[in-house]
Amino acid sequence: MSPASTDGDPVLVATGMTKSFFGNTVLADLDLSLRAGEVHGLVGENGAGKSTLMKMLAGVHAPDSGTVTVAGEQVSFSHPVQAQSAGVSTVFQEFNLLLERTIAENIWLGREPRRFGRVGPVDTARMRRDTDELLAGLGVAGLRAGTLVRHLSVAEQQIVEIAKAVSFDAKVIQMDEPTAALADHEVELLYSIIERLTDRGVAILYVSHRLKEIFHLCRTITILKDGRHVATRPAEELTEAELVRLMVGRSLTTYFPDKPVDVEVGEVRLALSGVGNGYVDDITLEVRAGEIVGLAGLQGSGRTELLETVFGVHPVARGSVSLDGSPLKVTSPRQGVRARLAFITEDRKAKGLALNQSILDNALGVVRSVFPRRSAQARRDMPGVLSNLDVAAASLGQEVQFLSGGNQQKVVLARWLSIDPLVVLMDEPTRGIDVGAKHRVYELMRELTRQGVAVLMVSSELPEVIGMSDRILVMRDGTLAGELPSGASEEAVLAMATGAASEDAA
Amino acid sequence: MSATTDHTSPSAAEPREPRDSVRRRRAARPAGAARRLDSTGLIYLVLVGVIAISVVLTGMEGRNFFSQGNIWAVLTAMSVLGLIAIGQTLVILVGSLDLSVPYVVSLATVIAAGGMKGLDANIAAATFNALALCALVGLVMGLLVSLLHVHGFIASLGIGLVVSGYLGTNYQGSHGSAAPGLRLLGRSGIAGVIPTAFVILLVSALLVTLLLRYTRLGHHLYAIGGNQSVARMSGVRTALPVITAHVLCSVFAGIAALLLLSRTGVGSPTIGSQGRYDLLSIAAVVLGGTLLAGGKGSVIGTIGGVAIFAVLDNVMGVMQVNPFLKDFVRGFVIVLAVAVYARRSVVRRPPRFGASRPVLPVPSSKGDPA
Repeated sequence: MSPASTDGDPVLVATGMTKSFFGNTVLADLDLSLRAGEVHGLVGENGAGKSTLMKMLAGVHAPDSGTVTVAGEQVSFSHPVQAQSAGVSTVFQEFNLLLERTIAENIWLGREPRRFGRVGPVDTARMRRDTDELLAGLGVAGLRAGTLVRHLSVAEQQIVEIAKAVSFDAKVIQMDEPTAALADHEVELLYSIIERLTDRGVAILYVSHRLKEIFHLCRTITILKDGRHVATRPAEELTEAELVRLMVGRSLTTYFPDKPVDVEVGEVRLALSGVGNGYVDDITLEVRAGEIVGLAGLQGSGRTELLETVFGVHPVARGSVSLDGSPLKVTSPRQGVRARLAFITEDRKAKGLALNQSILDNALGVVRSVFPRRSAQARRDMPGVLSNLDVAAASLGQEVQFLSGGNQQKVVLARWLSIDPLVVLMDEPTRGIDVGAKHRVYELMRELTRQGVAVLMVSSELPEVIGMSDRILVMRDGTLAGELPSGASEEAVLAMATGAASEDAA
Repeated sequence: MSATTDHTSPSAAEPREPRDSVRRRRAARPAGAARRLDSTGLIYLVLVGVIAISVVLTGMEGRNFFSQGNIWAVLTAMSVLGLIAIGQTLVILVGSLDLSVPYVVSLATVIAAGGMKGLDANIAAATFNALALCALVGLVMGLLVSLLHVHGFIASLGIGLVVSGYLGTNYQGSHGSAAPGLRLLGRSGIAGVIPTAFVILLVSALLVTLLLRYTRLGHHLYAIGGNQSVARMSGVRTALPVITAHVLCSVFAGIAALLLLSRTGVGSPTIGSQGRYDLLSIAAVVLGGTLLAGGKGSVIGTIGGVAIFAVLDNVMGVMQVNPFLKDFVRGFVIVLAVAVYARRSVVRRPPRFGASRPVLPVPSSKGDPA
């Protein structure tokens, strides 16, 4: 860091930031102060409130209470453009870019420079010139202002977002997991850009799960847990192990049903050997009949892609998969279903349910399309299955969009139970559902194991992974980082997932 | 907001190597233009191919494709559909659709012909009335789409039916009469090869191209059609461009109607629907490389699409192909074109392993003495 920036003045001071959604407090009374020229790390588990804080500072959400001052002036934002004009820009994980427009057109969208004052034509030459200067100022060579964003890689698109942030004369740039989708050499480029920005006195609020990165970049680290501020410390006063300890260690609030004594883990059901493709690599694992294997890891570590690969969404390029000892080759989800794999997707509204169709039609969707001859029987059984899952609904003809998240998830489960699965792949099975429904999902998982089904569950909730799994596999950067026994500590899982001090964890 | 355009942060601007100006001049030539040329270039390549085939087929009939009369015929045929397709391009670019154009065309011919009553003195007033009425129809659709969030497909279908119903109840058969001055325009041209109507088409195409490239409105049309939420997050007001696109589309349909009127001489309440301008204009726009979902495309491409249809129609007319086969060929061309464009892949997460893109160089961090 250059000496000029070591004692920067606070450019952004947020005090008492509080936000709740539907009576659920996600961030309580948070104070944050960013100094000019510093990279300030913001860490915490999934759901700790990092995104909410960023979105409030970005003008996406309005805080319930709390004040923000930028360069000494109190501000309040009701639109992202207001925040940007005040000097607070944000590079979200989901880019706000138009793929069919050029880099320059994206950067200046909504404030295209015009010739001759307010009535003249758009000054496209100046747009390109200014864009090239912005990119040059970031030390980026090889990007042209006139290139369509569609033709850019993720890293290059991120650079465009950063350039856009800089074009607003940003005093503060927030970055949400900026390296999640980058390859190693691209990370180097990002670091060099961040260094240039801080040299100019820009403060960076840097959200990341990767602790190595946090320690490499950040001067100060703020830790959040369950929507509360835990600590803000200079990076040199912290070790990775300490940081992990501060991030986790909350009391277990959910009750997990005990492992039933009468279940015996049987033969190997699903086995992967050296499986790889464009998303995951060198995955070797086994799931036995009657076993629940938890798949932990950070967002973007390839957990979902692994399940999708097993189910046939992505082709297997390398390695082999077997089911009950015989080789399994699925190249489409339909073949996955025919092999009696069930896949409970992460996003039930987009990929799990037809929202404007009835409960019954949704629950019978898979059987009808893949095993039509069994659909009459399934139609007779379905009311029993649904009531067994305690689906609360006026009638089976009700459209699923009017159900609660928990009941929607039960309908998803019912549709997969109807194919008598051998293996159930679950991606975030309890996301966004209430405690009662969660408990029913956990019980159902136990029931499935009693019937000899193999369960492979992806979850970002560490207590859930630890409380439900017989074994825990941890993924990192698309590969398996290691295996932990049931009842491992949250610290151990997190350390393995982040790559922090894996030797003390094991 | 215009104040924020004065942005260049000082440290970014100051260090400038001597090579910078060279590099900048190279960069100033938009790399995107080359790629855009690829996609519109493809259309014009197809057009050249279609013309080549037409020359041969016309020759086999013992006629010359490039005869004065034939070129005049092709360009005249392009003019009406071309103007409507320009309007349709705007509407499709912004993410909407206009199915009402045939009825707006019919409406404009009866209003204009009825107002002119065959007298030159009435041209200005009748033209103004017809175009103003068209603009009003477009305004209603624009408001429905932008403020009430009715999809353009339904809004324009509904408004089209309303106009059609109005025409059906108030006009039977031909109505009014075009002024001699307007009829003269329908026959006039440059050197007996280029009809005035085609000149009007070219000027309109040029103006709309300038609108799309050099006005904020144009940039915002693309932005809204490309991704409405990104546009809104960037501070773009989304209603005005949508409304403007619909108004312009209806006005262009009105101008096309005046050109039709200059040739037929009388207003007709069914001339638009006979011309099937709704689907043909959409087909020409899509054939011209504009994404039906909006956000990408150009007027130049659309004109190419219109030209392909006009040449095909011309040669099939010369060969006296039966009308059903004509439709077959048209339909085949449309489907083929869309199938080619649809190969554009869905955006998904890039693969983590085995990526094969060229990579950006990492600059040496010592380079910038800020």
